[in-house]
Amino acid sequence: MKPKSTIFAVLFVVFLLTFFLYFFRIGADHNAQLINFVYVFIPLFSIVGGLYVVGEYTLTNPHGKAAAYITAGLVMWFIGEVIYYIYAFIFHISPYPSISDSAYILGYPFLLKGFLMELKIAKTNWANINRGVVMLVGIATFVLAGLVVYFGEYIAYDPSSSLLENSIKIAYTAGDILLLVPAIFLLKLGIDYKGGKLFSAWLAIFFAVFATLWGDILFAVYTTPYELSIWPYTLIDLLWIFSYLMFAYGFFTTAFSLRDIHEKLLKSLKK
Amino acid sequence: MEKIEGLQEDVVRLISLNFGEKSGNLFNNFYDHETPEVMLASARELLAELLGPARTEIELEVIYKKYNIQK
Repeated sequence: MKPKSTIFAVLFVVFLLTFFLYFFRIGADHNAQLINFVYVFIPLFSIVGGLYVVGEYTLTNPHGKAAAYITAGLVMWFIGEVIYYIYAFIFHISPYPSISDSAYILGYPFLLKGFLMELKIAKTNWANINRGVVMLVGIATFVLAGLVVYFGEYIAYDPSSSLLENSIKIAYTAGDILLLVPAIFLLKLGIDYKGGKLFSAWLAIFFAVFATLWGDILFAVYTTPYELSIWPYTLIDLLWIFSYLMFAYGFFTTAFSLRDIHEKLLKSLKK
Repeated sequence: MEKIEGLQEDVVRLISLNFGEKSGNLFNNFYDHETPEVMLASARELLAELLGPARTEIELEVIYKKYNIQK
């Protein structure tokens, strides 16, 4: 089995297992502790994948630097997940709002920087795309941004909540919108790589951002039942799990492809 | 085709950018004694594997134009 197929199979199995864990509430009364314990480790897949890519490109390479920023953003989110878990399940204190939110929110600028660097290197050519498609993408972005603001702010805003709580909700929405725009460009970047190994990698990263976005919107709308671990609101986690695993898939695919080419060149030299 | 001053450096730079410096160095060593045609054909093949054919042409277009090479 090729490494790319192996990692796909591993990530798929991980998603399937977590899906069953969440959906069928395995562990009964201890399900909340169990799912949150498992959930904390999921971002590690994307972080390991990101570090693998950075290692393959090295930090002197612009793609390597971009991958390092994206990975740093994911590390911040991982720190946020760990702090959230410690607050909720070790200290039994409400984790929202808490220092974990600072870590989550700090992750956004790193991801944004990484995506923008990647888009700058790619020098995406918009001239060869059908104007109708550009218009459709523009409208879709506008509608999505509107939905993010509507659900993330207007619906989620709670006058009875503290100023801090509402400010954090606003910060999440701002972060999501900041990621949404480059994410649309990432889709174009992925399409540009059609026929190449980076095609599926960037498409996966696009889906990862998109899943995070929907996870954040649903969290903003259903914060209280989610915090109380009430089913089916806990299923929101599946969107974030999907997102981390998609990041991991994108990174591992890139790293394995780079390694393949490196080995091919090594073989050519030995001949 | 005779060796063209600067062409190999530019192709190696392109390979290094897309595959990392380690692969760039390997490419440089391997194609040091090859003709520009062979080197460019190999670069195209490698780039297409990662970036796909359309993106590869965009990347190579700059080099073709700079050195006035016919495809």
